[in-house]
Amino acid sequence: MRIVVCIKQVPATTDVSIDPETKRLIREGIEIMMNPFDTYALEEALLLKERYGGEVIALSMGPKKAEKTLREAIACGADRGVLLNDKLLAGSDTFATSYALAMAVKKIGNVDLVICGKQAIDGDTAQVGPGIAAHLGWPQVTYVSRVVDSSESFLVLERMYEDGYGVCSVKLPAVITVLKDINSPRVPTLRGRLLSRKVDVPIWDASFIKADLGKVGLDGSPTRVVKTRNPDARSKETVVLRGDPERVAMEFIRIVGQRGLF
Amino acid sequence: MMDIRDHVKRFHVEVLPPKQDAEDLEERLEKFAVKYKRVLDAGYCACITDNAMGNLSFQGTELITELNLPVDPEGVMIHLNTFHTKRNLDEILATAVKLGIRYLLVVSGDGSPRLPKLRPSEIGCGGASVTSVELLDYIEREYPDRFVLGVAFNPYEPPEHEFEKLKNKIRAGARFVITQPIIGQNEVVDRLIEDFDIPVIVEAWMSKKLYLLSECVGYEIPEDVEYNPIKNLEILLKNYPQSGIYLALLNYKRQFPLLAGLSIGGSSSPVTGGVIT
Repeated sequence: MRIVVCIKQVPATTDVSIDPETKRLIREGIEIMMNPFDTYALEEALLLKERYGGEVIALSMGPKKAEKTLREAIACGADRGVLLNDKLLAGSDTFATSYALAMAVKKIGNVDLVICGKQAIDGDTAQVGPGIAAHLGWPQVTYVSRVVDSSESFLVLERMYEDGYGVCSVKLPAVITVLKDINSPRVPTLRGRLLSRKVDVPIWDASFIKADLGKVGLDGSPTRVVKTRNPDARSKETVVLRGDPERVAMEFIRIVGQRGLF
Repeated sequence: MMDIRDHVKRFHVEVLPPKQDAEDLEERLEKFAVKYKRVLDAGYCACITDNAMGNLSFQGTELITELNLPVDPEGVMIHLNTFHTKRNLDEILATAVKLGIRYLLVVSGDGSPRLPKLRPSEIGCGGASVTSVELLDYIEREYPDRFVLGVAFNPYEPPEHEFEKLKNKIRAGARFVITQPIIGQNEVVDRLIEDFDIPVIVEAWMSKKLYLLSECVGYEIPEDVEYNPIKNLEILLKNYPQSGIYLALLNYKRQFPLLAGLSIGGSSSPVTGGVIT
């Protein structure tokens, strides 16, 4: 089974700023890490590979420093990594990003399954996985919480809805996005880490994946961030309860009950 | 095979594994190997931590394997906490058996968002979460009499609660105890030694910055308190002659050679004062 895992590098901090001109995250000078949801995607790919053999390929689109997260994936057990990096791809929205990633999947060739985390913790759109499926014309299953059954040609998956869970089967090739309930991601081994420092991570540009330049980058993106603002500060109030312990306890129960916390 | 009481009566020197994200990994691996071998060569016990403070680091078993380090069954102790996948836990234990490692310090440990947590169902126990007690129980069940299991003891917690926890740990298989760092003498540790028939290793605080111990002891220690860690170590050696000493050396190059001039099992008359000046 040849599995591609899409991995995004995200800020390893919540202390980030938005560029007032571009309305995008300022990523320069910030520590980065693998998007936490992608660690579950990677783990599921590694588990499937252990069961059926084949190859796990970590794929990312981003700046050159995103290579670090691909090496992290290799340290965990991915066979290789591919980085899409080209200034022509810069400024891509989720439509253009998923198009570029889909083209990279085509370029890799003979891919049976694409696994993504349910969303990235910086953009929170949850659109790229479904976008890849749409661009590839493959079936997709989102919010997967469990692999119920599997073979080399189909998967039976439990997926989460707003009001519960359902089970569906999907023929491969397909794209799935996974939740953190699905597994417990492994941490890299020393052997894997040492190996990951030596392997070559190829960098592919837009022309290498034969991308239509009208569909990538800022110009190929149908959406624009026109304005950003911080959410309203939550009001905080400290109530100190004093006096007879029994009365204080009753008052505490009344307050939390009133606020629907109990 | 050495009796546990004889084993504990030695210096247990903490050797921190390199962190997963170390840029200069090869250099740090080399330093780790040098420190580890020096501890073994000195006849002490090298204690390798398990993702201490929740920082992602390499496991003792994989470091020993990959760096081809020697193992003296009496000279190596690995820490093992509850922040692992079941599969990883089993790999660590199986490798420890293969390497001939005998001593494990079993602790609940410090988690982090990137570290998986063992689930009770995975190791065949009930309850809402896995603590050191459940982990001890699992290891004893899966590897009966294969390891000598130790546990942590915090004399700064409410004593009755801590003693109760210790009883549970002993019932689950604990056969020795390592305390939190103590200064000079500690009444709760004295009671532990008096009331429990279990070998004890006391930790000596090896930083001059005593105020860093504040969080552990539960009260604020002023920053300007002067403290002599070597003097404290000497006092602990005299006050706890039947115990071992656990050392997290802060200045390895300077402090390690000083250990050669000290011996465990000295005077049995308690010594007080002289540590904080």
